Amino acid sequence: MASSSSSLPSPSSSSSKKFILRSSDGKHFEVDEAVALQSEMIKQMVEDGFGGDVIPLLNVSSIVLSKVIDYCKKHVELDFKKKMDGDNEAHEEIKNWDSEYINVGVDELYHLIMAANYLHIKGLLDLTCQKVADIIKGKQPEQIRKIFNIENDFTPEEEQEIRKEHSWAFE
Amino acid sequence: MKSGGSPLFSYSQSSFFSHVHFYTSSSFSSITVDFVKTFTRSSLSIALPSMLSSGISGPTVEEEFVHQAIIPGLPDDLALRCLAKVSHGYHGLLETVSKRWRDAIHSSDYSNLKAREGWSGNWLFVLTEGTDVHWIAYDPEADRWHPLPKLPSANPSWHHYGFSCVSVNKMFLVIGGSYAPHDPVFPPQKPLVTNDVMQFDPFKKQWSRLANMRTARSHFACSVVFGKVYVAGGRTSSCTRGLALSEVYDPLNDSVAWSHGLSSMDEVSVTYMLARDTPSIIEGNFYVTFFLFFSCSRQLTMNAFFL
Repeated sequence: MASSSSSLPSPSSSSSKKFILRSSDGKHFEVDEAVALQSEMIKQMVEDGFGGDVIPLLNVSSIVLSKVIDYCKKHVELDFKKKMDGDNEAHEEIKNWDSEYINVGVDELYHLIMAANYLHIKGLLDLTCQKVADIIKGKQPEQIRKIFNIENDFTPEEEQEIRKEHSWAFE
Repeated sequence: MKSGGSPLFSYSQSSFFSHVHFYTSSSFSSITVDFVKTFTRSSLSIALPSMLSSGISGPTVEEEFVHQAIIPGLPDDLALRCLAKVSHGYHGLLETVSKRWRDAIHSSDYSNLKAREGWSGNWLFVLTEGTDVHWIAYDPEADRWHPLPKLPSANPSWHHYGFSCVSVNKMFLVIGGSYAPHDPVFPPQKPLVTNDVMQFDPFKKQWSRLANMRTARSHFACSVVFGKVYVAGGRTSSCTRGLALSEVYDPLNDSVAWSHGLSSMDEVSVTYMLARDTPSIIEGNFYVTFFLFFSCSRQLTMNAFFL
């Protein structure tokens, strides 16, 4: 791949510009420009003429940021592969990688959702929110309450009433 | 594929959909259609709650909420975004989780977010008849049927037939048709032909009334051409031999209401008689084909349409 004569920039190209991202707990992460620009927020900062060496990300901890960077790196790599090898194979690989990547506990999922939203990474936001939706699907209310730590604020009578109203959902 | 004049079924379809599957069985006929991807309605005034908010809230932020968080640990706008990805067939279960979830699913924030993102899901609409007349919907993702709210109608328990359905701008329209009492009454009553146009919004999950057609009609041809709804032919109670009138409605401009449709033979080949067949769209022209409709005796009719 690296020896390709294509004009497409290789994701592993050492000549590409680097960005340094600083997490809320002060750790520095050096990433390629293409990886950093997966974030619409960083892209906007750069377009608006941000001239500093280090981009401070006040709302993202180092643990979460490193996980987010994994996502961005992989997607830059897979997008590149998609352009080189054609859509189908890469599409399948992205799907598999994403489903493996997102197989995390709900607390980690929440942090990824908040980070994806803050950094404006649409693909990651869709992936993480979809994961929450997928956890919800097909579960009974008792299971949903347990997983998401939700208090049942219906009185027994109200609950009976609303279950009756939605009896079709329990068939 | 076509029902070929079977008096048991009525159906209509839009030209805008890429795939049409037609099923018939002894009890129902339906059309399933892939959803139109373009969405141009009701999204203009909506803010982008989840993109504007930042992830400043850590896991401790729920303590500051005056109300219970939808999902403890997540800001409400992001929790709503997650719930908005759950398709309509699961909503009955979601509503029984907690009051907060029930209210969230009924909130305008929720329907606005879904509308803005175009997350309507797929819907198969079916009108059941017999002793209990109501619209029900199928969610293929959840593999589940559920009832829709009652269609606001002057004669809620009457048999509704001869109407047309189209899906346009991700809205589902039920147009015109006849109402008749289910059981024979004495003295015999003529069916009531209506010019009502009802719209189902899959985001709000509500019916609303659109501008009436100029002419009440039943058993007419109907289709969507370039985003506008065309109706042609059909009959009324006073003109049972058939109407030679067509009308057009622009869903993006409800205030303009229905106007007389194109009458040039080049564009709409409306002659007369009952339009019982699906109109065909060829190179943007709306062709109505006709045949006589002989039998009115039906025991059970279901009309279905995929939005």
